[in-house]
Amino acid sequence: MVLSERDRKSRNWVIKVGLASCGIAAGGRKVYDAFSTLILNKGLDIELKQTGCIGMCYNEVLVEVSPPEGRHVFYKHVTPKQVERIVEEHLISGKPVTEWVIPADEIDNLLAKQKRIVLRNCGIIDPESIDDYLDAGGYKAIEKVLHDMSPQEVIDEVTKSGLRGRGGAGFPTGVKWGFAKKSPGNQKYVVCNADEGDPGAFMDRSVLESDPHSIIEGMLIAAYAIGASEGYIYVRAEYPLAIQRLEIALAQAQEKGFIGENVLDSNFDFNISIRQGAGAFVCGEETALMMSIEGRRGMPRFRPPFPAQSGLWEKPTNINNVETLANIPWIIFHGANAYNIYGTVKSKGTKVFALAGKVARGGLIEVPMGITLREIVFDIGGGTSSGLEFKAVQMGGPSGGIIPASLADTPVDYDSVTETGAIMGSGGLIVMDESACMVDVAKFFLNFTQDESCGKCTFCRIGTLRMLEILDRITDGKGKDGDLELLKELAEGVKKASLCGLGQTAPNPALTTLRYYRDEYETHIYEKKCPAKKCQALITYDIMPEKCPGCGLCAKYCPTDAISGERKKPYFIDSEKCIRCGLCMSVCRLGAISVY
Amino acid sequence: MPKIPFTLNGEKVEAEAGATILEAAQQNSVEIPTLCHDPRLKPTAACRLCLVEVEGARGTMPACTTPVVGNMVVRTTTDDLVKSRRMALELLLSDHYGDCVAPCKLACPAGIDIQGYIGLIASGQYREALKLIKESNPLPLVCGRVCPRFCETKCRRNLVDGPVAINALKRFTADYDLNNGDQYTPEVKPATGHRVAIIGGGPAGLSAAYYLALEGHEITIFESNPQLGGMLRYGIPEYRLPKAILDKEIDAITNLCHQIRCNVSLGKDFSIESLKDEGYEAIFLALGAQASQKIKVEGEDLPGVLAGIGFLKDVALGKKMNLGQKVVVIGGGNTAIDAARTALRLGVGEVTIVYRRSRSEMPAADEEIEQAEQEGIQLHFLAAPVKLIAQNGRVNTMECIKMALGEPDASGRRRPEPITGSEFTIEIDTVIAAIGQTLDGARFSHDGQVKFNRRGYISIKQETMETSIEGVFAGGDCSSGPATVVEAVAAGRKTAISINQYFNGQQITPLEKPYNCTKGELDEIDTEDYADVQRIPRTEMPALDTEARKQNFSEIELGFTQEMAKAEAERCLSCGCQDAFECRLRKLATEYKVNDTNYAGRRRHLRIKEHEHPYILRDPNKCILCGRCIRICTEVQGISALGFTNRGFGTVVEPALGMPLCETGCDSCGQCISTCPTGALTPKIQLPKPGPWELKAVPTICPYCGIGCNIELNILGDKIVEVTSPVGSPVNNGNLCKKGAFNPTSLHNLKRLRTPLVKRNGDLVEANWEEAIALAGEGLKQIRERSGGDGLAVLSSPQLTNEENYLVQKMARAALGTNNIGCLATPVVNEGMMKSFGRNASTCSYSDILNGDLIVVFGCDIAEDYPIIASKVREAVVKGSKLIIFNPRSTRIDSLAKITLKVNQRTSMDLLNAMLSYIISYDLVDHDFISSRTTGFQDFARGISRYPLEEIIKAPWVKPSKIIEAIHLYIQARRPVIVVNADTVTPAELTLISDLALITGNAGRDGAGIVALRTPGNAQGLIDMGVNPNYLPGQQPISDVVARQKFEAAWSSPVPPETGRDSVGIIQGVEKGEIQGILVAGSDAIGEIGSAIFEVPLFSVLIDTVFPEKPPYPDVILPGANFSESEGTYTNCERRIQHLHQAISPPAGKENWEIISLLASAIGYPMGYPSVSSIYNEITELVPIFTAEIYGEQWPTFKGGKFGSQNGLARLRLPEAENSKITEALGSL
Repeated sequence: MVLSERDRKSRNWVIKVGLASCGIAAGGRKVYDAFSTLILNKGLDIELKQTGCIGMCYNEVLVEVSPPEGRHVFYKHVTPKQVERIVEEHLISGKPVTEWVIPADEIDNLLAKQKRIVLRNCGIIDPESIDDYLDAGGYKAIEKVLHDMSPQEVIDEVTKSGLRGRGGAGFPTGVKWGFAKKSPGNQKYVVCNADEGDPGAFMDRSVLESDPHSIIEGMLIAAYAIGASEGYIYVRAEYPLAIQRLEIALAQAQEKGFIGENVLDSNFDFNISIRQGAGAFVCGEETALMMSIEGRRGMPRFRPPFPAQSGLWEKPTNINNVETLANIPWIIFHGANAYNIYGTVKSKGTKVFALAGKVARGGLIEVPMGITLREIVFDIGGGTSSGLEFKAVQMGGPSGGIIPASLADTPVDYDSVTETGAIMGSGGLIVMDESACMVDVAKFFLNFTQDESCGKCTFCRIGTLRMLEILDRITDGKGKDGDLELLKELAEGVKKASLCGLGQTAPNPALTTLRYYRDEYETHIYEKKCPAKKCQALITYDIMPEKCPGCGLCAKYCPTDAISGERKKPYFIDSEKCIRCGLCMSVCRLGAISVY
Repeated sequence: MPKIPFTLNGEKVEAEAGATILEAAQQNSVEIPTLCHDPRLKPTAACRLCLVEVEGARGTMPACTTPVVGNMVVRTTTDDLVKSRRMALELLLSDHYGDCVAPCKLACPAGIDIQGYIGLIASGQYREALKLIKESNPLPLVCGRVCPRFCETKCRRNLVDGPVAINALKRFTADYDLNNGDQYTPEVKPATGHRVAIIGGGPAGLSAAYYLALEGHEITIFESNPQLGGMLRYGIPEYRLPKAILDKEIDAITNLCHQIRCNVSLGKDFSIESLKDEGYEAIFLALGAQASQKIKVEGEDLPGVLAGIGFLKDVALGKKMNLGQKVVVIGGGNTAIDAARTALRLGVGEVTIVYRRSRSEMPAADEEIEQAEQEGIQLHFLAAPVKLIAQNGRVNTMECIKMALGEPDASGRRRPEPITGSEFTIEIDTVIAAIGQTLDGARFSHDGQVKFNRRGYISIKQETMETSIEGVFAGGDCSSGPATVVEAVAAGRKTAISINQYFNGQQITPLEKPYNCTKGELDEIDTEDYADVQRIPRTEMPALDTEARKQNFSEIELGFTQEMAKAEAERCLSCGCQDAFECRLRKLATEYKVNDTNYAGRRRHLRIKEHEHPYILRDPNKCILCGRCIRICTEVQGISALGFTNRGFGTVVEPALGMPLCETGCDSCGQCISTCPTGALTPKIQLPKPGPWELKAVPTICPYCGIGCNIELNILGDKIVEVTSPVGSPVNNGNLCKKGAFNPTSLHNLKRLRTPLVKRNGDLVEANWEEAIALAGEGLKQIRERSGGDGLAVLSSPQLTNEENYLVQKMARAALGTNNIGCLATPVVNEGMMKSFGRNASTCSYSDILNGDLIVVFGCDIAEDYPIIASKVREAVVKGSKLIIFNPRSTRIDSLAKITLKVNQRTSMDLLNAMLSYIISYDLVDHDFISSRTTGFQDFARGISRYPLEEIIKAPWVKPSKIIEAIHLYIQARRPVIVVNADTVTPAELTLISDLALITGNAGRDGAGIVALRTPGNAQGLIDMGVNPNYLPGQQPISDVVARQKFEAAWSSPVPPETGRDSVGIIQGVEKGEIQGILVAGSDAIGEIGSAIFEVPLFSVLIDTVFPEKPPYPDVILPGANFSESEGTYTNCERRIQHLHQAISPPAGKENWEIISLLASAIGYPMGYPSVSSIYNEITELVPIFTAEIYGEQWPTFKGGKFGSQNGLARLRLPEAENSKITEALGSL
């Protein structure tokens, strides 16, 4: 792990507690307070800091202890109770509590295949300190731009880097900026799309919470390049910590003259306001997002005209997402060539993924484009968390698609992923093991997109519901001949004729599961069985008499009194009463309950 | 406009620059379907129907938002597109909860518009109801009595308290027509020369004859019996269908036919071949199925064993017969019941019906069975004859066997099976076997190769009624087997349609079946939907009591009275969608042949809030979420009363915050209704029932303000059901406000004058036209003879047409010899502009508002008073125009304005003076314009310099920078337009406003000027037509000798040269007794001026529409016509002369211009106009600014750089002291 200059120079012990949402949710604040109290009580000369998310979310609460000299270590799953021992043994006596320390090889494995550009400061600096950001080389890129580069040179540099929009569509960022620059008009806008709506995705949140200044700097550079004087960050209201840290960052940047009039004594003016989204998934779509900023109901409109021609209040507008903007200062500072050595021919640089689902080491990772899914799942993610066979990944959130284990060697780049029927999306990556029912998975995601449809266009509003009804029917054991054809016909109709990206991609989970797991669908329909034993209507719980000692535990837990029997004799389940909740199976210590 | 070449469906065509693909296709007569687009709104591409393929584009493109660019290659009708559109429609309809057409109509074999005729009965329009019924069924007298009423079993009222008595209402309508004066005779098209032979005069034959005769074809009916009617005459007993009634119905049809030939049979007297040889081009076989089926038991042919149909026929023919005392009828159908009841009426003591199944399987109508039982007929179920035994050569015993019901058979009824050994016998005198009928195939020869089906009936194509021989058709019982009258009627009508197509050389195709959405069968409907419906028991059909009917053949059912019919009609739930005839979704669903079950699933089922708005009915279940209502409310009206809420499938359109619509900012303009493509938003029809009906749209002009919006009155009979406006109309482009959209539909609620009234002994009594006109004419004439024209006056109304106003002033000047001509509108017509420009009218047009770069609204709340102008202002501001508003109060469009100045009438004079003074003192005037186009500048400048801006800005209410900014905006604008309400600003204000436009060169040229709005509908026309003591028609001064002489010559009468009294003067003259006779002509004139003037002793004549509520009354009241009843022209506030079309006839039979002409003639000045247009022609001859070409256009206010004054120059002037508040204003400074 790279330490910042400032940390290295520090002659004190430094303790950092990860306080992004993941850390806080795991109890980080209490751990921080415990350290704080103890350090104060004991009068220790130790610097206690908060930091953002370093990516090892599965290990939170994470505490990094850096001695003035020698090796720094990470403690995982720290609870307030453990704090005293760490202080006593490690900080005072200099002996790390080894059983709580993350082994060095685990960290090495995790990092070996990553390249942290977007996440360069995450988990390292204090997100509420502009000085930390400055010490880490922050605001150097905007300085360079304002002093040495023309707007066109900035655009050329970004174009040359090969950076493509990380919001999902993958449109070349430099080209997009070029359009906005060319559009006539005195008033132009730069918008940061921080309306991260995919369930299971938290890349943007982490960056906003861990390194907000990098976004501000990215927006400044974009604004300078296209000639904008005003910017908006559209962030979901469900990210209170991100908003709080952005507000702090904006105030600090304002104070230091990085935003406002005559930025860094140049002729360039730029102001940023935050707009909070109310949690509509569709507001991540750029035209809907702009309507929402204008105070209207967020509903997409047809493009052209593109936002670069007529965007916010019908003025030329450039919209980039958080990850894209976070890349910008690095690219400008290190140069396009330093960036485009990473990645593949058509997909340059790195991509951040929120690794989640049935994976051993879930969290935030940043990998060079071109890495294979297998490397991500096994080398970085450590395989499945359940020990069951790896089955598939869902890429691109609810609008993405399933990539089966058989295609695990697909390189992660825009074109290869699209070829599988999934999309790169904004970086949600959900790992599934053998226990996942693919019909159920398709249903889950479609349920989400159907709920989140803005209601404007026919196909998305009604077509997705009809698809969902078919999936419901299939998982309820009421599927019939012709359903799959109808599902496919609808899915293709919706994909083709919907107005915006939401509708155009909503059928992806259904289409990809149909493509790779048609047999599973057919088993549901014709044999009325769920191979993954997920679909409640299609499974039966039974007690194996030879294994059941008659302890009665299952009967005690059964919420519908479906289990009965005599003590010390095998119990049995009344399948009429059974609601297939699976509670019996989870409480039986002897594995006497089977499901088929 | 430059054209852009592009390729549309393979053809090289052109489009106007800037057009979208949708518009470009339309310009080339290619319709691209859309549901969410309205040309009045910004496109939104929501419905996904207008998707087209554009070569080179990724995916499909919405035609409504994509502009055409040069050489684009567009395809609009590929298979993929059609498939996608069908899917879109099927998806929309899978979530559509409603009935396009009421289930009763769908159940009716003849497809009668039941909901429609019931609605008409409810509003008392019986003639219209009958016409509507006869469009589908020419036998309502018959069917109203004998129909088995498939409709009533499907009636949704079954879910409330029992079905509507649909058939009884039909009978009522037909009976009413029969019994109340002139019977309805349909219009017959000109003769075509085509000859049709109809073989069989039963219901099928008669129906075909009727509809073919209406098409102008020559019809001959061949009948084997002595009289027409078939089963109606020979199968249905007198007590159900009296022959006299039947004859009336048949006569109405045979009157349309060429020839009726009775007592001739096919196969005996003629053949198909022989008919063809005689020149019949089409032949319709409507032979019926009158042969009785055999009961197939021993002894069937014995004397005393009769066939049911044969028995009924013999009775109908009046044959004597001896039935004995015990009669058994075998069978369970209507014929069996009819036979039994007939036998009873013939005096048989004991009549028994023997039926092999049980009562619930009986095919006869329940009521018939009940009535038969009441009359004493015995029913013997589960028994069948096995043998008939004779004694003395006549049947006297019937051996029967008991039956038991087994498994259901093909008919769905349980099959009767004999119980072995259960035989029993009945003593009888006569057996009537009525177990069914069949076609008497032997009756006609097979020379024509007519093919028969397996059941022995004529084989036809079901939908077109074609037989195997070209030109020969068959229908009714002879092809379907025994069925009902209404099915035969339907077959006859279908045949008529086919034969008509055959004659027209078209391919014979069945009528296109429109798509019908349905809520489902009765058992699928949520009864909660009807929980709030008031329970009203079904009206009982009055009938003879059992004793009174038993012994004779008098008709049992007596029919409804008017009151009963109205009450029963009120019970109709009006299930069918009010938008059924207009619905875009239904039209496209029909066109694309959708199957709404393809994607069936959950449907929205939301409560309809019936009472949330007085004019607008929202049915969210029919909403397709196209957002047109939301957009028109926001974009055009600037209100946003509606919006989207929720997400996903649950998205709905709702009023803001879920409030009732009328409690939002809703303006009740009805624009949302006008744009809604489905029945989700419909007007609340101001009639007892909402229809829907196919309405006649009559284009005319809205009379409720001077804007002159183009409207269409949608008429049914004598009622205005709905008002619409054509999109693209030059004045209002389809937009309307509350007044235009809804006022005309409640006109029928007014208490209208229907006959002339004269005052006798202080009371008003009815008189005929001759009396009343003579009395009125004589009275006025005497005063003229006694005291000359000075003692007379006329008051005319800005509600009257140009032609009527012209006639009123002509009557005053020529017939009465007076210039005492006033107008009913208050206040007095503002003549401020007359003195400045030489014409009292707007100097520019509404289109100049749309295209202007600055709009100044002065002294009116246009959003409230002239919403259509407000929407133009809004559109202009969106396009980039600036807006300044001078008004004492805030208005709804203030937010659009660059500057608002809250000035009242007192301060506005100060302000105008100061503005003018500022412009002059800083020399911001347009010198070239002033010197070439105006006079009086020096004096004006001197006068105005007394009011420096420096003085006025001391006033506490004013912010000087705002005034100066406003002045500069006005001066800098290239196309500034001032909008004033000429009825509320003072003449002084209007003078200064005119001055402002003139000194800056912003009047009398294209694009800039003053739009003077006026409140009454034809205010401008009234001014133009010389309803004024000072001006002759065409705003020609009475003092202009040349003009006056022209009129005198044309009218052959002197025209008084001196100025007369205006309205104020006339009223004063009346009060002082100087006026002894007055003619008041208007529409609701008393509402305008009050009735006080009739209190004074003078001779008064009133031409009006509404009954005066209370005395004092005028001496003569002549019932006039309102705008919807008049033909003529109105002139709007931009001087556009527009045609008013008569939509309904005036209740008293005369239009106002006819009344005025008659009156003038009675006074001794004959006016013999043959038509309204002859009056208009006379106007164009006498008024230089009016020409024939100007009809429908604007008359010019400045021509060739010349204003309307005699020297062609405008006059800069200070307001006259008496009107001006300058002194007062100065004092206040």
